[in-house]
Amino acid sequence: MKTTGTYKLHILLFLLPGLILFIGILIAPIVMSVYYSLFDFHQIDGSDRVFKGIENYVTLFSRTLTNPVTGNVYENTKFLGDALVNALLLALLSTFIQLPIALLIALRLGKGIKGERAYLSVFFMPVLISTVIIGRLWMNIYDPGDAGILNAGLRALGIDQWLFPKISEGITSSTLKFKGQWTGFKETALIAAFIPILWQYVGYHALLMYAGVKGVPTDLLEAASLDGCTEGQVNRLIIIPYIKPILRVCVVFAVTGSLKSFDLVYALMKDTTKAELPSTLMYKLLYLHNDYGMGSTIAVILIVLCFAFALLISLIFRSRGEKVA
Amino acid sequence: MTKKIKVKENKLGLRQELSVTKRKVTRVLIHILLWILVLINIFPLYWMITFSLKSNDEIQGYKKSADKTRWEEIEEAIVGVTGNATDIAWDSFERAIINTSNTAARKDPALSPKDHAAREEEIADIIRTNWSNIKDSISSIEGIFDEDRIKDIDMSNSDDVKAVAHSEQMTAIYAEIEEIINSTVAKEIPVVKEAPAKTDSSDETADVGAQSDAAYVYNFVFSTSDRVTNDQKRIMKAMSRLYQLQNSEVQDPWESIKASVGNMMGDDMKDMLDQPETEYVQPNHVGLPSELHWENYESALKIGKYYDPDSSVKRNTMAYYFLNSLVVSASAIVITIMAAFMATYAMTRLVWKGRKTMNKFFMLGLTIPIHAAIVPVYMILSRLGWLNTYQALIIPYAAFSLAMAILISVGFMGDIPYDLDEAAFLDGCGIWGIFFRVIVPLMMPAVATVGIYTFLQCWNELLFATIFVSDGKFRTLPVGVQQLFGQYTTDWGPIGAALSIATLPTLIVYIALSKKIQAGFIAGAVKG
Repeated sequence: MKTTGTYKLHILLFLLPGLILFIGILIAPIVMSVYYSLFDFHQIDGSDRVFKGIENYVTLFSRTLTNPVTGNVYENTKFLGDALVNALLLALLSTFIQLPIALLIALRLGKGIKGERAYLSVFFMPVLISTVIIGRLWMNIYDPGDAGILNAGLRALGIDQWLFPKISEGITSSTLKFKGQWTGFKETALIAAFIPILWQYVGYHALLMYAGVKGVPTDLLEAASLDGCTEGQVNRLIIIPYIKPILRVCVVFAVTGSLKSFDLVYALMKDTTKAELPSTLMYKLLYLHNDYGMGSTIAVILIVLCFAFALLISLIFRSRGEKVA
Repeated sequence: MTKKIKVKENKLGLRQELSVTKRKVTRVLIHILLWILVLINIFPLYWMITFSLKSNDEIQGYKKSADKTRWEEIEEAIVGVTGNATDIAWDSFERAIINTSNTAARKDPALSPKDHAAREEEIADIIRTNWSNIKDSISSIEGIFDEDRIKDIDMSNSDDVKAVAHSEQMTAIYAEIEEIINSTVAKEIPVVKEAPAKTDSSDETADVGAQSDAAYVYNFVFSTSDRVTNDQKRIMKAMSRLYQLQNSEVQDPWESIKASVGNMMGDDMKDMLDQPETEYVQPNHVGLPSELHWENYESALKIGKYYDPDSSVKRNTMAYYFLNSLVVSASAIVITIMAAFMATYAMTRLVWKGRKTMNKFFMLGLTIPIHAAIVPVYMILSRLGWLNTYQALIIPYAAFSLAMAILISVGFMGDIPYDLDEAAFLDGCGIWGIFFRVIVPLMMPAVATVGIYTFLQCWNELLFATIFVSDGKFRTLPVGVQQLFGQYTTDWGPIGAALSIATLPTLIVYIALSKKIQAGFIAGAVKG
């Protein structure tokens, strides 16, 4: 084509907008995050920066996280260990409840039933609705007052008396704390927050898997049915191995998504302490405590964990794939 | 040989038959699952739309207060029923009194919930034990009213009442009462524990005596629950006339009934009778709206905090946030598409060392969590002085959509034949000419897919929009909606409308282009 000098310049010019955006907003900030995570500072311009080394990382996992300015233990702030356990629990639930449901849907729809696209469109819809709105909807469902649809349903079924007996029946609030405040009660907040998250993305995974199932060559399926395979056998022996790459992607998305998950818990609860996740903890440290060093530390841990899990899952799938082949 | 084949066929046939029934069961189960999921997924939309068309009261539940006071209702019920068909009237009276007493018990702020229940029970007991007495006392009074041709005398006219109330009549009544008591039930008069309610003393000196007598009789009547005799009815009659006479303020005969009820039940009961009965109407959360309140949409668009005098634009309204969201999303889409197409062109069409590595480098962006970069991005934006501007959102949105945009573009651009480039080159096009005249026009399908993907990313984004923009001038719709819940928690209808306004654009886009959107998401996931 042209002489190499100007040619390279042109290439650079083509790449430039993308590179500026990408490096400026994605790559540089991550490098900066790693750098900031080694400091302790509370001014956004970094004027009071004190080098701490890896002390931030140690502090985050130790049980007493104190505010360096006042010397007080952070109120309403759980420790990263708890938040990580919660996130991993969410990842587990996501992988072993959400994905199987999605797979069932995909297998059924993928074999062609009436209106499969319509089903799929409906299932996918929650992904597109703003998390704020989904959070609001579930807040309404969980409402502890007369408004709550869940409690109203329990009342209609007569289970509410058993779960949270009425005060007039002699059981006072001191003897039984749980009165249907699903998102405000320590034991139920976590699962109450997880259910909407799991629900919202079932359709997303189902869509991906559906695309995979549709991509299975029909001659394979025909051959299988000629050989007398049952539907279960077709699913187990042909379709699932065939869509393994997509399953891998889904598992990676589910796990990393769980680790990063923020919006819904934030939208659902004013006080996220009862269902703390790493992202909400990070948000809290950054914007309630202005502890930018610690916030960056969590960010770095999150990035590392996401990459580590993505790699780990890929490795698991690869080794299994080789065994099958 | 033939036998063996037959067996095989049989086996095969049997197996297939079994699997058919099995399949049917599993199919039904899976269909049930599908439909449950469909319902759960449709529900938010249904809820949101019905919610947005309901009135505030319907959503929250409200206290419906009657037009008339309780007392007026009771009066109406009793007066309205003629002759002996008074059962309905009694029922409604009883209900009214029980409601009143319950409300009175509940209303006392000093009482704990447990005490409330006890108090309610107590009052209910009083009513139960005394109900027949009350009934009789009222029926006797009703009798008086009939006798005295209540309809002819205008009781609201104080002159008429005064005319009736003079001392001769009073003394006659006392005599009558005394006579009754002495002759019939004098022996059984129980100990008077408590004086009845104090009636306002009038100028007449006879009142002191009248009051104590009345109290005496009154207590007697009401403390003997089982002996409702004609005599007692007569005493009641006399007593109520006494009430009328001795208290010039009591002009309405019904006031005397009220007074007697009040005496028995306590003062707060009397107060309650003067207030309209309230009924709690349960909130209608799931049902269809009883009336369509389209004005919710209008007020949702107008929900706003202040009027900016500089620009004469009403800021901090949902309509304004909507426009902000449009500006931010549209700009981000344009920037993303341009940057992605240019980078893709450089990486797929132009031949140079390291273009594959560069592609992989961009693909790193798919795995980077958006939250992880917030602090540094915030710092960069604040250094640039971009906080609280449109570009504070546009640039990060574009950057975070870029990786996916490039991924999609690479797929689309790979489908454009290379012959076209060569032909254009031979016709004298340069690199830029080929890009703008050949590639970009052919990439229109990709524009749609990338555009939709970016739009969905930007339109619903919450975290960046919360943190990078604190000024209401640049606030986007999700943040606006989120804030609504803090500020205007009473305006449920408009909030529902605001939710719908925020969601409907995405839904319309989705319904119109669902295949393309799904294709975009699939492309992103499968290749990434």
